[in-house]
Amino acid sequence: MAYNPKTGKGLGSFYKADRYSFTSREWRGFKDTFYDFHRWLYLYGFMAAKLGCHPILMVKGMLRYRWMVSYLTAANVMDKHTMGLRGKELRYAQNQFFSVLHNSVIGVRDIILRDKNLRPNSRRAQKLREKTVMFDEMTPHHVMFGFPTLKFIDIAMFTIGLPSEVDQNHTTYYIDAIEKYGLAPDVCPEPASECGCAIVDDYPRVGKCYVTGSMPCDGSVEQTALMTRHFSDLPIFQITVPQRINEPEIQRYAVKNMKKCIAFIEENYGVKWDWDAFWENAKMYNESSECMVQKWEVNATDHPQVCGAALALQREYEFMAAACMDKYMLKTDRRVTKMMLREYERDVKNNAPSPKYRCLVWACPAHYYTNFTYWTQHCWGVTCVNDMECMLSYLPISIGDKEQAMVDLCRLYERMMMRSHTNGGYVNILDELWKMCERFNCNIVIMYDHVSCKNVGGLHGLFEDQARERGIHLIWIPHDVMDPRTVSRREMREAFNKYMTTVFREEPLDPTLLDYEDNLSW
Amino acid sequence: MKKKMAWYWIVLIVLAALYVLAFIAYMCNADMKLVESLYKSLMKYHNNRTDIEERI
Repeated sequence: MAYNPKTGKGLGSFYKADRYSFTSREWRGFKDTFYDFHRWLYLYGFMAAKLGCHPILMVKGMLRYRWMVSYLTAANVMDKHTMGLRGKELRYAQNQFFSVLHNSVIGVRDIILRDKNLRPNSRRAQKLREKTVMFDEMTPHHVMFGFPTLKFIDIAMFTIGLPSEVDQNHTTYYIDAIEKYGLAPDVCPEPASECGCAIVDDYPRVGKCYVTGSMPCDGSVEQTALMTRHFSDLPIFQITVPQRINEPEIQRYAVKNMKKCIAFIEENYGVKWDWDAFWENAKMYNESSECMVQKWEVNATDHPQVCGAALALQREYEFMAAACMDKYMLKTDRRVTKMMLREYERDVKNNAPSPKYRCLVWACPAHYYTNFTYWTQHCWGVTCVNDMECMLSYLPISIGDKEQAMVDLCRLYERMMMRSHTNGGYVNILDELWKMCERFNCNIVIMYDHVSCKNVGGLHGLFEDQARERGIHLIWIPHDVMDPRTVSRREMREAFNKYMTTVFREEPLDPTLLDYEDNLSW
Repeated sequence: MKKKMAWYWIVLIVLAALYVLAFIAYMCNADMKLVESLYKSLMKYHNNRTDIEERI
């Protein structure tokens, strides 16, 4: 417990209304403080080793791209997610988040080395671009399993997706830019900021081709249309996946589409699909999914281990940004799974106390408040045992069977972020929730109410009715995914506080976390 | 005559001093406070850029 009743100080005391950063770091006891300190040193050492050798490009990048400035706050990401954690929880979170930062730092380095805007006359950059495929977010990066000589970079993820989770005010400029240009303000801020980034020409040019996709949502349609215009000088491939994913008959169409994407890459880069490399990468994906399933299995018991954002964000980035091809992330998976199983057995043996409340997180979360579930844990004792964000495809790829492997590859795309649940039809988002509540033994659901999402908004009433029938506490938390000006972090907390005080008649574990100002903080 | 300190002691003292300084910086969140001032200046720079309007 981080709250000290004698001094009245708690985790809320680290926030100041006029500051972006925390006032100081927390004393967690000798062992945990020094553990955290050494991880902090390691993070800076790693960043210095990877980015410090390109100081001129880094400065040029900071001056050229607004989004690049948000990456300066990398250490703060670690702090906001590990604040209040002790012992094994601190270690899980440190390992999980470091693997995300590890991947991001290497991603940023790859971008600055290739970028045409930063290095227009560099032959080396040109050579690197010749071997790089640019991807949009929510596209099948896993297709790169079969192209070992090529590199891929998800430009939307590195310019918008990730920085918006690092710095809450990151996207507001891009949203304003596109709205000034005429986009309706009720469009989801995620595609809106991606469009804004294109309008102000803030996308790096790091590859020879651009692969984008289709998403059954109004904002994404707009985004794809605008992005293809932005990159009109490059060869572009738009992959279209089936809108409904549960029926096996649609796989024929999906495979046909995936094969077209493979042919597009082969044709533009003069390379051939390599089955040996594919099997190797598929094995990596299978292993990382196996680790994820093990975490879920443990979290379904009375002694959940890797909880909250540490569980969700790591899988999200491992699957979406790294396409499960990052060896360091897989190494982290192995290490955390081993640690988790050991700690779980110890908890069972010692009959360790279970969390006060268990909850599931459902629907699209707020990028600007990724540590919300840590807040619910520290303030109210509500522990998040699973999050929809990490419920991405976990079904294995069949090794050795080429036809079936293609179908499995398509399934990854069909069950990636946003597709499998929020845009996958009511069977996947509504019926699935009740199954998960049963599986994870939860009667509380933190239901993110993304105010600009028309897909989930249409099911609001059905969620309410069915939750009431089942006796499940559905706590609606409004947010506007990437725009904290519509619904602030404080308002999100207020919605949760109201439910806990009026329905559960609960007292906060840390009163300093009840209400504080953090509109500026990263 | 004064006895000279062995070089490894000097290295050790410097490393220890750096370690203590780093720990103080860590506890005071000095790194993020420094980043905050840098962040503010860079944001000010980006807000005052005129080339973006031209690009739009």
